[in-house]
Amino acid sequence: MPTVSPTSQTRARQLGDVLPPLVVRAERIAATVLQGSHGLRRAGVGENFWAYRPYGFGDSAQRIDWRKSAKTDEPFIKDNEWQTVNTLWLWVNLGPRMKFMSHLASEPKQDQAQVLGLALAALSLRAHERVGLLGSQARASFGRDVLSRIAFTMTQGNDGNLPAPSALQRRSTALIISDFLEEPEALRHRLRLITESGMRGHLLQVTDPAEESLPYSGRTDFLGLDVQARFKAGKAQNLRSEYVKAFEHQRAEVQTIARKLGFSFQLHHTDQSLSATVLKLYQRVGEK
Amino acid sequence: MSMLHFATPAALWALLALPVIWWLLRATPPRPVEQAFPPLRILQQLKRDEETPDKTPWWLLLLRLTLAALLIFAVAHPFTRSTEVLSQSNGPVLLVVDDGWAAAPDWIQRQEALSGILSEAEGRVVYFATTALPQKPEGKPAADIAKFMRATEPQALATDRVKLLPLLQGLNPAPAEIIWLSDDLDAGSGAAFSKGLNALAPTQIFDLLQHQGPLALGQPTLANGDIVTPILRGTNAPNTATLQAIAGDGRVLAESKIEFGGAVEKQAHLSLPAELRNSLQSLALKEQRSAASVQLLDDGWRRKTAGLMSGEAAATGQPLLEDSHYLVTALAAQAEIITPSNTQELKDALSAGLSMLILSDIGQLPPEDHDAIAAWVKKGGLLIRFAGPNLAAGADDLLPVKLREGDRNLGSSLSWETPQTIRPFPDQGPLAGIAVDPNATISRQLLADPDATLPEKTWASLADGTPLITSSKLGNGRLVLFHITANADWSNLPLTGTFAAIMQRLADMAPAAGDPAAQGAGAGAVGDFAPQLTLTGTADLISPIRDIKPIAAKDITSAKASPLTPAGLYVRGNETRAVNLHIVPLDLAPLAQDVAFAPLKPADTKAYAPLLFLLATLLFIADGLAALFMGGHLARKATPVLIALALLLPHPKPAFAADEAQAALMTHLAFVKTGDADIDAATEAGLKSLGQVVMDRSSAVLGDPIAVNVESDELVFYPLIYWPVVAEAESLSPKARNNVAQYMKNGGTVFFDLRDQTAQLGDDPSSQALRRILANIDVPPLVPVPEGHALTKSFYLLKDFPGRYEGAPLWVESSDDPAASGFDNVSGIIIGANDYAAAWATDDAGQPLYAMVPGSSRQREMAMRVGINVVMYVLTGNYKTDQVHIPQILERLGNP
Repeated sequence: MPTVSPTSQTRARQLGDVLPPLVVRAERIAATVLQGSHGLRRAGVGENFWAYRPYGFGDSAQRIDWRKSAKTDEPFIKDNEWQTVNTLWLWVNLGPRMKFMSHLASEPKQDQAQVLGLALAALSLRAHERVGLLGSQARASFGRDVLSRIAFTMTQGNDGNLPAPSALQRRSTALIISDFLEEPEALRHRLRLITESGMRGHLLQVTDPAEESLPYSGRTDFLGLDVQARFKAGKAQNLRSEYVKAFEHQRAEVQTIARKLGFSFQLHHTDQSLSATVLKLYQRVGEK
Repeated sequence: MSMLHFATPAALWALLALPVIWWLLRATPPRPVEQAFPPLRILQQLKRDEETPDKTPWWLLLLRLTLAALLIFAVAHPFTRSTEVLSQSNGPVLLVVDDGWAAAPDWIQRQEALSGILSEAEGRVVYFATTALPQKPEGKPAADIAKFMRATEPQALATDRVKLLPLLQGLNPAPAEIIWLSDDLDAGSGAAFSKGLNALAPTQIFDLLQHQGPLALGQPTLANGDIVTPILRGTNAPNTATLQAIAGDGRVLAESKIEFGGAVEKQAHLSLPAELRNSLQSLALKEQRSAASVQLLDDGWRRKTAGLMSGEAAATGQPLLEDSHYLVTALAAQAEIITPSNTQELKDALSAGLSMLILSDIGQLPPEDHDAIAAWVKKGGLLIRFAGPNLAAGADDLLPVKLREGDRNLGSSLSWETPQTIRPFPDQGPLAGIAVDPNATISRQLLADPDATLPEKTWASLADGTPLITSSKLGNGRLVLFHITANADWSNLPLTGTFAAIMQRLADMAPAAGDPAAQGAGAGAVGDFAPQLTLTGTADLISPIRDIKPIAAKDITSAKASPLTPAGLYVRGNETRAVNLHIVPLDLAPLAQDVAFAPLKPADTKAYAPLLFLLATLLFIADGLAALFMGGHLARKATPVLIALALLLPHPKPAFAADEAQAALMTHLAFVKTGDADIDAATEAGLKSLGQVVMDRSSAVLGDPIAVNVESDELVFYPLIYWPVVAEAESLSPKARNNVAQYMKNGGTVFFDLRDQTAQLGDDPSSQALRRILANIDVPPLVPVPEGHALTKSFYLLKDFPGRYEGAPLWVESSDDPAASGFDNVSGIIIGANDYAAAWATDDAGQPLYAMVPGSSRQREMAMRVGINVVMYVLTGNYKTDQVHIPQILERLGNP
């Protein structure tokens, strides 16, 4: 009989302390997004009424709508709208780079990225879509508790490397939230693995304003977060213009990769409102 | 004129290093800020420009340079002086300093003043001459002289300016000006010295501004067992002095306080038990730090006991013919004389630690006596024997030499020889220094068998070389034999002063009473006295620091403090002699009027180094904060918070209100205001006069009475609260009730006065008012003061407790109730009805304010005694009750 070890219980309780605010926050942001229709606009398997049509050959007698048929002499069959269930595969970079927060931002990148991911997951779940975490062993599923499970898995963190999808996931959407500061070539390689599995999706770059503008001056030692490296700058302010150019270049390259592989690209600054980004992102996700 | 001077101007050269510091600070960049930065990869791709580090910001540079400059200035010890002593010339300066005993008390201030003058003489040649130990001064730079001056100590000597003056003549280069820092004593030569100095160069004479006149001790003498010491007082000296007798270990054995009342000399009497006198080392004036305020005491002051036994049959009734008369006269000043009449008394005296035993003309001692005396001598006693017919007839062995039978008769009618005179005593012998009376002649003597040891055993001899006094050691003790009788039969020596001097010398050699072994008389009594401890100018005893020659035995008694024989203690074997300053009233005369001298303030310099160091410290802290700030360790937002905190911190909130603090500082009686102005005034006046009387008659110290509000005031400071009850008194608020109950529970006492002798805690109005007040307060059972209660004997013995009225009893807590009194059996509540405060009340002139009923001055006195007893009762608790048991306790201790 499997038992839960005390330590994992304690850990779960600790996480429980963390989770509700995260989930609640994500839900609150999700609530600000008005749910639009999401049907496929043709008859099929679904719950919503689509059209009545006369009973034809080959239709099962069980599908006759007797109430409608009783008003006329012919039997009618009620068709529901065909609603496919999309699967959203979510991945949020929780690597060491994402822990960064500059004095210009109010939150670390990682916190905002998590909330954004969870908000999208919540919205998708509300639309009865299946949501799964890319790289986790669990299958994508729907239901209320999925959100908590995802949030729980997220709190365990990851190493910041985009994982390859576990199985062929045709007709599903990937939402990848990261700062995309790695080598563009490495990113391209990873993304290609995802597209090859049949997914299309969206990239959301979460950027700290300081990363864009290098707002430092004076003698500064820059320390890497994901690598043990140190960059000594005699006068940080002198590097600024050149750095901004290099940073833009990096972003442009990521955008190019995204476009070529069929991903959309969106930007979020950690000093921005989360809701605006969620709304925009949700519209994009809903377009598919 | 106020000019900035530097004590160590050399330090200012360090200012030259400031540009270097500036360059270094500029070149040394501030500590880099460490900044985590995720897109480090992108940064690393950037083309590296030249690495010119960021410079230190100018304000930090300025701060650090200021800090360095402040430190340099502080090390240079800048100071300003408001007055200048020296002229502005550059010639050599001669500093003449009185360093005798009179300068010792304020020597530190003198050194301060001198160093002030020396700092003015920077760069000039300075001569430094002292007057107590005159030496020819050498010209040296002021800085060297300053060091030398710092090491100079005042001497336990009088100044000798006459000797110094010729040494100052012919100095090369000749001094251009002379400063004389005098001790304000003329010493018989002030005017002449001043003239002599002025002949050399223009002279300024100074003395310290707050120089106090000197106090000095004269020669102590012994009179009737008291030590009598003349205390001499100079001009401007304190009007009182306290003479202390101090033991060798520093204990003060006795004190005597003297009021001069303007006189220049007073005798101080110290009477000490004889046992304590033996441990005396010095007499000193309290709180006087000069050598003249000390008289060292030596062996001569130790109490000796002398036993006297004579071979004469009985007292003849003719004292001048008795043996003992001359001995007693000679020794009376130094020793206590006992005359044992039988063996038991002799043994008792010996075992009590006799110092010396004199046997006058006893030939053969009884065997028992002999053994006891021999044992005592071997332990360290001094046995002195005088010859006579009995000894001549046959002697025992307790003699230094072997005697021939029979005596030698000189100058009798049957003799050719003439009576012999005495040879001067040898300089190295124990009798050195005693002058021999040329009239002393010896007509009969006992002769010693000559042998090889006889010369060294002989202390004194006759002109023909035959021994007069012989001595030898026996164990730790000593045997001394006078070859003549102790009376005038055989010689006229006992009639001369020489005999008394010899006997006193022998008494000095004898061990102190009580313990012959501690200082045996047999120890070497030959040689010079070597210095053991010398007296400094500031009256401390120290080991001799300069080379001091021993003093020959013949000079020691007449030795006075001088450069060659400084004051101090000199020892030879077990003998100690003191050499003291001999101060006579003339020595304390102030400088003659025509010698003009000016006061010199020692502290008219203002030093800035501490201020500079403080500023530098503050800047250093600021610099540390700045470094933290620049390094990003101090959040920018936190800085104003930190500064605000620093400004806010040193404002502790007082824990008590001011009047409460006042109440806690002293014991005050307290009273409760009734609201009736007359009664309240009477109560306050009553308590005030009660407090006065308590202070007059006992050692309790009370402050003025304080009116308390039982509801709002803290009651814990008051031992007694007097509470007059008026008929219209209202019941207490819950808070006041709580306060009163708490006060009584914590050991306070409330004295309710119903002010109506008819009130018997019945139905009368004031009793009802009291009931209202005490409603809901837990009052223990009350009884009228029982017999033997502490209130009846805490100060006065009282039977009843009258106030302005009499008759009403005083109610207290019943002590039978064990729960009633947790605090020393002091009743928390006393209820009386005799209007006590009115009985105590007096006006400012001490006149009573209220008439007594029925009225007598005795009743007023008794009322006052009641008050005193109540105050003592609350202050001392059951102390007096316990005293009752003292006889029983003593009895128990006595019969264990």
